[in-house]
Amino acid sequence: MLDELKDSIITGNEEKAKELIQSLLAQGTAAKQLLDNGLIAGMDVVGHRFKTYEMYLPEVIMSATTMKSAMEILKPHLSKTDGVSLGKVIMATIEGDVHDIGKNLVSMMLEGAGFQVLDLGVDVSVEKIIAAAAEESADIVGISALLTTTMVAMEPAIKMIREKHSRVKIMVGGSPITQEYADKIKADGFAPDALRAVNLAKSLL
Amino acid sequence: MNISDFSLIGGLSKDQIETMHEKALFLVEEVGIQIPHEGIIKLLSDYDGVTIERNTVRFKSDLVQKALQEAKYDVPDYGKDVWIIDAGAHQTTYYDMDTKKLRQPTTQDLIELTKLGDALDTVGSAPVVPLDAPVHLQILLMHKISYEHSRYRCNDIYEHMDKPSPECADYVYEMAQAAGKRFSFGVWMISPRSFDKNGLKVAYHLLDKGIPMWISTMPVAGVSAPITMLSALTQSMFEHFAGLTMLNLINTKSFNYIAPDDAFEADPFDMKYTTFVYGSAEYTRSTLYKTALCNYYNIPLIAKSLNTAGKEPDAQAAFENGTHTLIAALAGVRAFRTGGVLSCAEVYSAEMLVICHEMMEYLKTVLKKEEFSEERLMIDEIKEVGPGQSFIGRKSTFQHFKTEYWEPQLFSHSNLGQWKEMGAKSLWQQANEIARKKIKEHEYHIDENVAKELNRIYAVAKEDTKLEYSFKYF
Repeated sequence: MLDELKDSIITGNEEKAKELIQSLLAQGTAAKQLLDNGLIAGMDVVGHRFKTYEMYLPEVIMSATTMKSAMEILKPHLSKTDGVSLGKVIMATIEGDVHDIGKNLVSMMLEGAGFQVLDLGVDVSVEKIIAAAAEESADIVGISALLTTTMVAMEPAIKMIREKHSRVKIMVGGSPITQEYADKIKADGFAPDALRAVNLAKSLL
Repeated sequence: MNISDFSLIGGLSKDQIETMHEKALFLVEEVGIQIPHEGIIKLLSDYDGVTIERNTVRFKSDLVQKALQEAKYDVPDYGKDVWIIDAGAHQTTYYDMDTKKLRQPTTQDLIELTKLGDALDTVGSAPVVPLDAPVHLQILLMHKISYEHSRYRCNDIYEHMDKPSPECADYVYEMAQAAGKRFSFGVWMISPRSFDKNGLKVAYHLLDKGIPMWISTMPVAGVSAPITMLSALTQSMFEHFAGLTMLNLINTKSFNYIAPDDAFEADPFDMKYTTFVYGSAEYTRSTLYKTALCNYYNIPLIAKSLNTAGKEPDAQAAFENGTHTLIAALAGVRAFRTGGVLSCAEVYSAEMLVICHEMMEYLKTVLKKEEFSEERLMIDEIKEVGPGQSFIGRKSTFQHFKTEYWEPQLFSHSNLGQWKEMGAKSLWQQANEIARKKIKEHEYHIDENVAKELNRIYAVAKEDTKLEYSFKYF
């Protein structure tokens, strides 16, 4: 049944995943085992297939949504040491920019992979990001920009966040952003797509 | 309820076509054509309405009208309501898949390209001539390999390969019978106003067999027809009418027709390079005229829109093929010749065929039928998803994205980073890889007994000195 649970994540079958979680918990299967060998194992396959272009974005989102719903049921059964969340991430589109498709995808993929995500939306001021990072004790801040005119706001934003939160890692992304640019503005990491954003977030912790 | 199909307006009007029709009938009746074959002249002399002066034959217009009415076009079921690529036309130069150099095609090339054509569901003639085989066996090999490795090749109304001698025609006929394939014979006119003497000889030889026969002619504007396209088309109509009428009178054991693939062709010519220019703007225009004429005479529409003057699978080839095919498709054509050819049909390229196939899928998507319904307006979805939210995670997106979006196999939509990550391959490289994969994975097997019979017929032909001698004329 664990394999079935994993498959339900891969195929994005939300109802099936919820049924299986409840049934497996009732049978006494450890919640941590369901998390590791069912949900996370399923999302690993999804991530791999997305990277190799075998799976498509809406399918990945369905898998991530299924993972999130399954986690809602599983959460109360996980102990503090079971690692309910890989880490807390604040996501935001930089001030002046209202584009959010890429940022939303990254948020969904991060959640699907087991991160706790607070998405601040679009056109977010750096002050708001700093406040949220403090309030949530965030591990990572993810900043997105689509326009060459707005991406320039990333550099001062990173500087200001660092001044307030020296511990938090900052990752950047968006269509015009490159690794070179990310290095130049002293971000901790850059990912060209949602899948690699998840891998990057894991590596930053 | 569907949204209306996109279409073209303009072109030849009914009145204009009827004027051309009347003029073509006048030419058949008053000017006539040359039929350089005694046996056929003798057969024609039995009919009222046929006037013969030496080799010049004139037909009364009622005989022409009868021939047009009795013409039959047996489009196979698989060719109805679908887009068809008629690939290749027995080219004698091959764009090598390994070296990208031009060379003579071999029997092995013919096998591989036949497999590729079949994997891409194409129809038509054999793609290349196996020039490593003796000349008198090449046409037999082309048919044999087509029958052995493909479902549609050298078959049905799309088949238009020469059978240059009676002996060759007999062997092809025997192989077609063994393989259960359609056999027809085409007679070409040599513009202006004469027949291919040898074609008449073979046609006369085949009259007893009761096989479908077709007529074709390709006057070249400014060379073998007057310079204006309209005049060349009228000459083409005249020659087609006369040829069809002749066939209708002599080939009485089967049906006859105007070959749809080249029906009412009027080919443009480049006076600078002294060559046909199939990919030219004038040729695209000629396709539009031809389409109007074929519609008028209820002849299946086939456009030679996959021909190009481009020498490589390059921008010129893509542009000429793409624009010509789109325009033809908008005019209602759904069968397109000569996929995979380059340099005005001098060269055959596997990669170009893969590109043509992809282009066709693209155009099919542009012109696909689309239902109009309230359900498809998805008003509830628009209402439910608020500002700042996304439709990507919606069930409706998940359920329909594969049918709403065409997924190219070749014309990749990857972004620059993804393209680099995948090896930064050129379009040619990707087409080459697809072609190789399709050839490798192609599986089609004919019945063992049919295969044995084809081998037996071919073995007999190989030893037949009469067959070999019949080619000494050429």
